[in-house]
Amino acid sequence: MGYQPHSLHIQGEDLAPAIELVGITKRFPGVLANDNVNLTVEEGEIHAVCGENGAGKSTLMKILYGMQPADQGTMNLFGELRSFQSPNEAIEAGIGMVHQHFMLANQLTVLENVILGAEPTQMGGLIDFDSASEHLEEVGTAYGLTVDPFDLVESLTVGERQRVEIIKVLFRGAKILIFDEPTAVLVPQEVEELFRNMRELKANGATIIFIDHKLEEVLEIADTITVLRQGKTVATVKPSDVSATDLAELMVGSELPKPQITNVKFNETIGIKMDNVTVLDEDERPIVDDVSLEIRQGEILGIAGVEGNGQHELVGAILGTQRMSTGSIVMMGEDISNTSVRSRRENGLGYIPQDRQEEGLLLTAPLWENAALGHQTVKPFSGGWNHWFIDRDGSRSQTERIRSEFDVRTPNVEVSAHALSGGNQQKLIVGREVVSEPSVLVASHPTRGIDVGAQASVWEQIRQARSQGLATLLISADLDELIGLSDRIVVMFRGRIVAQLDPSEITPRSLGAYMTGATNQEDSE
Amino acid sequence: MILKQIRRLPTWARWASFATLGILVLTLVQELGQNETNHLTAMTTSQTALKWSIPILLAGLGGLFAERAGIINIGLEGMMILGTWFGAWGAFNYGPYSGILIGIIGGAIGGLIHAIATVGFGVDHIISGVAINILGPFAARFLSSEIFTGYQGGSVTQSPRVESVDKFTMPFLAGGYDTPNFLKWLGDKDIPILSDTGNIFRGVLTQTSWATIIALLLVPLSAWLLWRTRFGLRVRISGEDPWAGESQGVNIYRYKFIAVMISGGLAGFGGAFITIEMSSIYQEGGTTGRGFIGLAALIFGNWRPGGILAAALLFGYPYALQFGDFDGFASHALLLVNAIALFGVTIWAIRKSKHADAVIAFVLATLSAVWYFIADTVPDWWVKILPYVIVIVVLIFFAQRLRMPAANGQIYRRGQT
Amino acid sequence: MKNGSIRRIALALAAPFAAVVFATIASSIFLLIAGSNPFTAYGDMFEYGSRLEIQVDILNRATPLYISGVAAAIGFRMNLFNIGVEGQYRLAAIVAAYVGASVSLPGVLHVGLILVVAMLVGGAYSGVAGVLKVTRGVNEVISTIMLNAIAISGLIAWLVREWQAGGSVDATTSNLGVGTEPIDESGLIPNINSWLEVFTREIGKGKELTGVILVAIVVGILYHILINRTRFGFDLRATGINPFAARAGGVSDKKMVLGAMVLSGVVAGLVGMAEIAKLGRFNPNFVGGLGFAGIAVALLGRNHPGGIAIGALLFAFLDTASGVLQVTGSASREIVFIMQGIILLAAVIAYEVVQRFRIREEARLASALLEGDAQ
Repeated sequence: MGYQPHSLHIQGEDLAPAIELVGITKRFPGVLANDNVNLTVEEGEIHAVCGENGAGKSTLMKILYGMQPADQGTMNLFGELRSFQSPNEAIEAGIGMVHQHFMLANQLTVLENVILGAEPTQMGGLIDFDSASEHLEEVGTAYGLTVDPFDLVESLTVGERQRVEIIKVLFRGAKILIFDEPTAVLVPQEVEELFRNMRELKANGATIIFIDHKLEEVLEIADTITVLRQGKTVATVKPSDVSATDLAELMVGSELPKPQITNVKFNETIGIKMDNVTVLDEDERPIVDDVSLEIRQGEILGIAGVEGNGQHELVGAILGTQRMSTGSIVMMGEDISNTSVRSRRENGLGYIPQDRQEEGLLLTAPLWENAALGHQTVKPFSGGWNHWFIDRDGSRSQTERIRSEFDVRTPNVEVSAHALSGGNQQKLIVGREVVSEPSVLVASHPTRGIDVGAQASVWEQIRQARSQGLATLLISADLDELIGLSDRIVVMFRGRIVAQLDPSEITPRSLGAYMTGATNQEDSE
Repeated sequence: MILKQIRRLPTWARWASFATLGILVLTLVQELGQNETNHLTAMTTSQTALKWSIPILLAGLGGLFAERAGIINIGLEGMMILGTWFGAWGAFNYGPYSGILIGIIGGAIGGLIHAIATVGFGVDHIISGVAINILGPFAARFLSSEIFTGYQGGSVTQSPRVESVDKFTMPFLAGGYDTPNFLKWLGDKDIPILSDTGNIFRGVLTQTSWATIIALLLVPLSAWLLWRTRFGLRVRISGEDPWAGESQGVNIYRYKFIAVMISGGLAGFGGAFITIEMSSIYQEGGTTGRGFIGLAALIFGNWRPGGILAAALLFGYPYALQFGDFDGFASHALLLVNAIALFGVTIWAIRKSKHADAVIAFVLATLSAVWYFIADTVPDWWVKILPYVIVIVVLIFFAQRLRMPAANGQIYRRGQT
Repeated sequence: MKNGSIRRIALALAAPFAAVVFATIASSIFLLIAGSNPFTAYGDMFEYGSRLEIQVDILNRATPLYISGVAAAIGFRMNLFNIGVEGQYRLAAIVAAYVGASVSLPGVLHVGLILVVAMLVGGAYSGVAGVLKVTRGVNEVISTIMLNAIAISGLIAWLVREWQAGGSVDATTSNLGVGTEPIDESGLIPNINSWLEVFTREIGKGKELTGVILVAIVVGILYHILINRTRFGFDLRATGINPFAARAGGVSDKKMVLGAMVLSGVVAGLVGMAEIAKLGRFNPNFVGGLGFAGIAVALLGRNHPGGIAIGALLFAFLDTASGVLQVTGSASREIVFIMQGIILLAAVIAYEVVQRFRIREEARLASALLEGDAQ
């Protein structure tokens, strides 16, 4: 499949590689992101660059795309020495990037997003919208990518937005396309659609660099695979020559850790119970639609679903930041439907937010204040009359405890949260939530964007807390994580619970079918 | 494509019907009200209202350029103050047209400082803006002490008198260039509504300063620039999602810089307009918070040029009413107008099932109506604060309803996605 | 760690120092353009400012500036911009003066009553902006500016005529009058010259050091405790740094906005007290501009209780010492306005630069200390 035998480092004189990166080195404060990286991409191939989070893939691509300068190293494009000071120069040289986090303005139309930076203009800088939309449709039909140029981006689905991203790149006549973890936001069915598009592009002569860390995907689509580990190139291989296990070992240097399914007996006491919870969005449409769930103590309930299907709002309803229009929530036998966030948290609701920097941390405040956040009303973080005063010593020693128990790597607890790596920030958050011994924990994407070591430790902490009787609601886009950790999985689709599944009996693929609404199952409850 | 453009048309139609409704209400209140007044729809009122709307409009358009580029410009007031000073200096030395140009440059210097702080150094937009609002009057005071004190009739707090730019009267409609004066004829007929409409338009079309006309032309020009040109698209991406723009090779810093300087220039125009067209003199504190009212107009106008114009006219009107309302009857009648408008808001809120809005609007409407019926006239201090009260009341109902550019107020640094 | 804290202090001082140096250089250029000798001008100001009686003036000027700075800083700490201190303190002053003149009480009670009334009025008036923001989402910058205009050109203009000593006057009279009824001696905070005279022989030229300076010191200490030691202060700062995280952490943003706004107004209410103690009444020429100057001072002092004090003293020095320039004629006294403006702007920028540098430095140090561990 897609594999043509050809030698890797010997080229014909007439055929210089599309891209040749030699000895690329890039340092960030305290981190060597790229350490003498070499990468050769032949024209017309799909070249996968894989490695764990933090292996330096994104940095390498940013250098290639002119978003960051390399400290050392050279770049050859079709045999010609080049260096880009800005994305503009890369674009001019025919390189396009399909970003993982879509680079699209929601309030602008598809057309405006696409032409931006390459606007066809008439006299006086007036944009020629007619010829632009014609050109857009031409490009779209040529590659089988269709979208209405006059739709606002905010009205598009995730898959459609990705198509806009690809069109954007093709619109400028890119010959080399970089796909930065394109499958991270897609369900398996959409991934297939994407792969069809990529093959089509290849058939039309495009060269594709494909960044990913999902091994099956890489093996399926790539012609050549380059593996990065801790900023270094460790190998360049052909998919036919390696197995998924080989690749995994190359990526992490050892066996890839996976969450293990463990069967524990859980308690019969209900930790949290939601009845007919409905949340309305700004336009009064239900975004969480009549959801009923219960989680027993010692149980992890996983919620699967494509992002934007109401999971975030459901979390908001539990936390108390989102108003419910109907329904009730009972936590540990107490009706909390109308209580404040603070009282819910004081009564034992722990929360690991989906975006640690946006919702979890005070980046410019010291670690001990970050550890107190959410728990500032209780011992040991506050004291004095009516807990009106912050107990600075108590907070500091509690933070020291979190630091050692949860392996938060930091010189001390006075540095600001900024200074920590993503994994350590996450461990601090998990630590502060678990250490307060909550009775219910809401964990939203608890391992998103952190390195393998931290990921394993977070899983371990969540499992340990479960064994002590914690009722956990787990939301994750990482289906392996969801299947591996949960005792029970429900699927959310368009705000409703559409399926309840046993994790021991499902695969990411079958889960994906529920998540896209392709398969349906009546909620058994 | 064409369909999309046609869909825009009803907006204008909607504005027109709003305006008609407004005139209708003003006329009815005048005809049926307790006291005899024709000041609400008098020619002089609409003439003055238009004039008073212009600085607010210009500040609002200034805010539009900055905020469409993602930079909150709370410093409009300070830039406007620079405009009043530079406008006076320019007009005194080189005549009123150059005065306006120099006022624009003065405001743009303020914009440049704001851009350096917010775009160049990433300072919080509001902090920088507040600092500029403090710097503006300080700089004007210093410059006056250095320069105006040396002029005959100038002092630390004011400039000598300056001339205004030329006026234009519409031929045929308002009798300019010795043509028949249709609107005067209509106004003199004393037909309810029609004559009032005639008077209002006659005021707008008579002795209108070219500076006013230019300012009004800036409304469609801004819309064209922001929504039809490459420059505009790039400015807007800077305010919606600068990182997306950056990834497509747009130099976001450049567009933010230019937009904030345009913003300052427009505020400076507003300031120069105050000096040259309204007070004929630079006076310390002469802007009286109109830069901030411009920001309110920007919000009420939903970050669109047409909306800003409508808001500016609405906010300019109560200022105009103060002049020539010697008996206080017109200001008194305005209470009833306000009450009617607020009852209108009440009905609208009920239909949209915005219950809180409905209750607030109803209470305010009732208060306004009760006051109208128990009093014969209103105290002078009420007349003075009315424009500010109206700004607050308008924001009470509209502040939450509207959507500003997505990345407005965020600090953008290149290369940090 | 010792080394670290010295570094920290040095970094903290670097920004304001750079700002003052920059402003001095820039102002010198302006002076040269205007044909004055900057060295003579600065020399005159320093000589004048070093006189004891002028230092009393400086402290008297710095006192309300400091209180005003703290009032603004309370909001700034949570990115809430109370630009309405100007209107709040003037409204508070006139109502407090009126109430103070209508009662006669023994000294401490009388003074206390006036202060409490001033604080209540200031808090109530800023509370309007708080309520508007919390319930209706009205931007506080615009609403407080509008409320300033309403207070100053409306309410105060009306009240000062209504409460005119010897009966209210009509709007048509152009006579501005003497202001409200005088407050009895018992209601006036006395000067504290006697305290000063412990250190020095006597203060010449009839200068009086305002007793309100003690109020300012108490305000500063309470502000420090509130912000850095209490849970309210923690919630306030957390909201300022990251409102979403604070909210997830159980901080009610609405309560915080309202609380901070009202508290800011309460402190603002005290700004006019030094002037009331001096005049014994509110009059139509009551000191203005302290609200805006307070904002400048708060920004200059980075909302830090000590920093605001330094900022207030610096601005007070410039305001006061510039008086000499008119006498000596070495420069126009308005040069200090340009200096203050440039200092403020330069400081705001310098703080940002230093903050960025500090974050980068900290990240570098943290990872350097962990070298060897997996990143």
